[in-house]
Amino acid sequence: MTSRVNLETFISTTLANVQKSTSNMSRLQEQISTGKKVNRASDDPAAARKILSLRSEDLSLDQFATNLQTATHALDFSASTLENTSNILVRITELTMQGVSDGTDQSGRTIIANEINQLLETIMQSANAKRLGRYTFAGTETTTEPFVTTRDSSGKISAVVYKGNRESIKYNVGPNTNTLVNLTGEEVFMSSNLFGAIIKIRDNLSDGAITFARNELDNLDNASQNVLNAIAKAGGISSTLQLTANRIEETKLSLQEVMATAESADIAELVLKLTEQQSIFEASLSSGSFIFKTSILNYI
Amino acid sequence: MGSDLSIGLSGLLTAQSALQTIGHNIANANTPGYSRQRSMISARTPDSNSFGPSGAGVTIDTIQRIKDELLSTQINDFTSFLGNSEVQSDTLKNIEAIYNELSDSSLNGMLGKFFTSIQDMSTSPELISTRYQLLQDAQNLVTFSFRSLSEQFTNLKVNVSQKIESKVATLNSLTSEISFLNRRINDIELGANNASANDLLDMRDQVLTKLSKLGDIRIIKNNNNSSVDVLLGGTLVVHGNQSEIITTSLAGEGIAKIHGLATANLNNGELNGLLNMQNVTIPKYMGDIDTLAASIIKEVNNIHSEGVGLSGGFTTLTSTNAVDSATASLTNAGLPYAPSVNTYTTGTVTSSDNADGTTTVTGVGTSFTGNVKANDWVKLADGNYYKITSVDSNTQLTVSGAYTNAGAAATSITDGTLYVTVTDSSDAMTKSSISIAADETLTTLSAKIGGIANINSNVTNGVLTITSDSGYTYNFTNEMDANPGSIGSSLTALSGHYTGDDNDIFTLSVVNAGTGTIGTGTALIRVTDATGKILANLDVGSSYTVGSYLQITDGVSMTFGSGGIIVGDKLAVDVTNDPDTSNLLSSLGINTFFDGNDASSMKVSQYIVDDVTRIAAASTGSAGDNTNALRLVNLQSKKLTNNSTFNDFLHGSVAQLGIETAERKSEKSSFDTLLTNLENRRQEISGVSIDEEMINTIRFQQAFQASAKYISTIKEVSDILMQL
Repeated sequence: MTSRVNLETFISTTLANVQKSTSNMSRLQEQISTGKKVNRASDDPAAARKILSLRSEDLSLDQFATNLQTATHALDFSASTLENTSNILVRITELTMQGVSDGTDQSGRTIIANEINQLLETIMQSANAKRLGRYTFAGTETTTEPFVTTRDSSGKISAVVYKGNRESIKYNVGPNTNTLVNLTGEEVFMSSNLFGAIIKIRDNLSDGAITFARNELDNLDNASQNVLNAIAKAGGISSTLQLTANRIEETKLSLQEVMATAESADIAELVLKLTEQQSIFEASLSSGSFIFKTSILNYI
Repeated sequence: MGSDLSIGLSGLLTAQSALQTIGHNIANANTPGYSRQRSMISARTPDSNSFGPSGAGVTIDTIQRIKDELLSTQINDFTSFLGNSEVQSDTLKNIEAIYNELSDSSLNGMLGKFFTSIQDMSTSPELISTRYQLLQDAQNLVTFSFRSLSEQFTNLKVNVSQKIESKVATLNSLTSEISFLNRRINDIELGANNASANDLLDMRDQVLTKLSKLGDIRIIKNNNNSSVDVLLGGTLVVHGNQSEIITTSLAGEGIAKIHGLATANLNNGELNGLLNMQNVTIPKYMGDIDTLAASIIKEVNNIHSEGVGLSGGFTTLTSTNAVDSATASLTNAGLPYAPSVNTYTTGTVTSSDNADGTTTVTGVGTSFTGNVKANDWVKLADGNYYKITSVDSNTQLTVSGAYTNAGAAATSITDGTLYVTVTDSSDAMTKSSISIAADETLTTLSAKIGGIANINSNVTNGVLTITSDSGYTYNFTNEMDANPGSIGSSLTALSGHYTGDDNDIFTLSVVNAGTGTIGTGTALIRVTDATGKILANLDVGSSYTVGSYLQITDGVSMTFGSGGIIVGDKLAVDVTNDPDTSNLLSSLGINTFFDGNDASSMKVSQYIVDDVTRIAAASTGSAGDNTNALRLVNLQSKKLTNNSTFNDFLHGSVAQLGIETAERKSEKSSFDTLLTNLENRRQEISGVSIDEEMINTIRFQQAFQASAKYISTIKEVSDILMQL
């Protein structure tokens, strides 16, 4: 301990301690008002790095979630459009069976052929379905109508040509993970020659060529199965994406928890510390002033 | 009798002097650096008398300054330490404020936003709105992050260099003050007997302490007189009555240089700290930002230049970056960043032509190094480059093209390749590849490009312009040539998008021709890669529907038209992941997104600003193609910057700054405390205690009163004597 203490020493020690107190209080104040423990990297470098990394990951997860949703909507739209088509194909099959049966006469067959023609036009509309300004079954040629029809003199469709391509469209839904989001017109309609089969059935029924119409039933069945496979494919991808989306949401929740622990200030604890610091400050000020007042000059 | 009075007088005078010293102490109680003074009182030399010596009164020998020299040295040392830590801590806090990484509008945030915009574009490549958003976010990244950071750093550096200049000016004034004080102290101390120039010594000590804050000093006491010499970092700055003038000059913006001082020998003090900040620390963090910017510019450009915008192919493109000389090697032509071509020599080779128009190249006494692969180019003795289509073994390659000189010749292999795809008005594609040598110049490159059918290329003022003939477009994508030709007489077509990591060459060969036609018997076509590894065996026999697509591997499928085949028929197909392996397009600025090569020069290319449909999200002309955008998105997870991802690199830099700043802060705080303790010690020894001085006042006041009383008594006695 010092043996000879003068006023200067008291003053400088008090000053130093007062400064330390006020600096501590100011830091606590900053933490309380920003709600954050770490306001700059030097407050806690390891935590700062973790926080930055968590923030980047959070942003990525948000984007993945958005892309997943966009992908799911696209796939669901494809699937529901094709379900429509599938139902129509069931109807066409029924009608065809009716048309080729012996119990139907030619006028009946002509009516059936007309109904099949109408149903064909409806399928065309589905094939050229558009969503958000883009054609769904066109591969990457999303701004060009994929299915182009040639019509005969009576306005009925005589041939369908596919103008789209076989390319797949993918979206990024995870680090280094891309998911397929489309079905091409090629794989759904053209590879099984769906339109060809329907046109042949319709024409043969109106011509009364029952045998040829009946022969096409196998092809029609094949084409229907193809459409069902496409629906299953889209549905399968969509449900997997849904699982991924759920997982991302869980990850995001736990990430936010970790971020909060690393970053957020416990306000109650800080206010307590601030109060403590404040009382220390007041005590050092008052004890200082008490000492300063005492001097031999009062007594001489 | 006379001696009685003089005794009394001596008492009075002594008391008066003592009181004077006490008064001086009290008056200077708050003077910084003041050491209390004490009158050294001793009895006068006694008079000799017949009965022996008799006292002659009192005198003041000297006024002593109470000071601990060792403590002074300690205080000076720690002041140096504090000076060093203080300026570094303050500057680092400024750097932290510039980085501002934990706030919302940080580089980290803007970089993230840039990539989310690319993501948004990838899910709607047909739309213009997402492209505008991307352009906006890219410009924000450039202006409000990189350029702004660069500017703030430059300002900080200029600020620090100005501080250095002003500290040196302070240094000069302090050293001249010390030399001046040296002279005045000598005048006093060498003059009268045993005099101590107390207050001047205190002043000199104060100045020395101030000086030690600037740099670590060594004080050398002169043996013959009372001056001190001062060494600052080994340089003699004060020598007796002289002081050295230290000068500064600016060697560029924000770089102050000190002349006349061996700054390398400074270990502490503010000058050392500021120089460290100016020369090491600030450039380091500026360098980190520049490295990140350069990496982003280069990697984004590499991918962007290999894509196409909404309009599909190009009819004319001009390079943004001009070269200094069209005949200088491109790696040394003044481009913002150079292309990366690798060339390695392989020793001597012989070659022999094959019947199918290819050439077999065999190493003579040397083997090809392990990193030779398909798509590399071999330079043979005629000076031309031939493309390697397969690596048959360690010592044998097959190259495309006939070369009829079979003699041994030294050769080199280069792995710079550029693929150019030309499309005609009926959408038929022709894909060609050209070699890029290590010493490729703009002129030779232009000639190679111009040699491609329906493409013209010219060089004007160091700028390359590539145009296609009317009715044709071109691009530099990695799309496969959909019509690679025929195998036997079966016309083939490719479909899909190659997803492999390396450029490769698939060789198809008929191993079983069935009954000689596609779609009959047990016909089998084997697909191998360039190292001979089997990728697929395609059944093109009776169960194969002619015209349907068969999967090979890595996203590639193929179809075979009807036609005749015999065993041994071959077809080579190029599959490309990277159509520009030396990143030539990127360094020349052809179809690129960013300009510049560091944080201060970075900007979004005018080419993109003029028309956002040029943003290359696609690899084909189809509006829904987002493959190039996906490649851009993928950049985030690749380790491209000093072996870290963009984010990791940035975070690492921030963390390092945080650690350095925290260390300096705590260092400064502990030196502060130490110095306070030392100052208290000094006060203990040299400080004025008002209480003590007051008591001394009483003592000497009484002494004075007593002496005065004694004198008046002597006066009375002498009065009585006078009246006799």
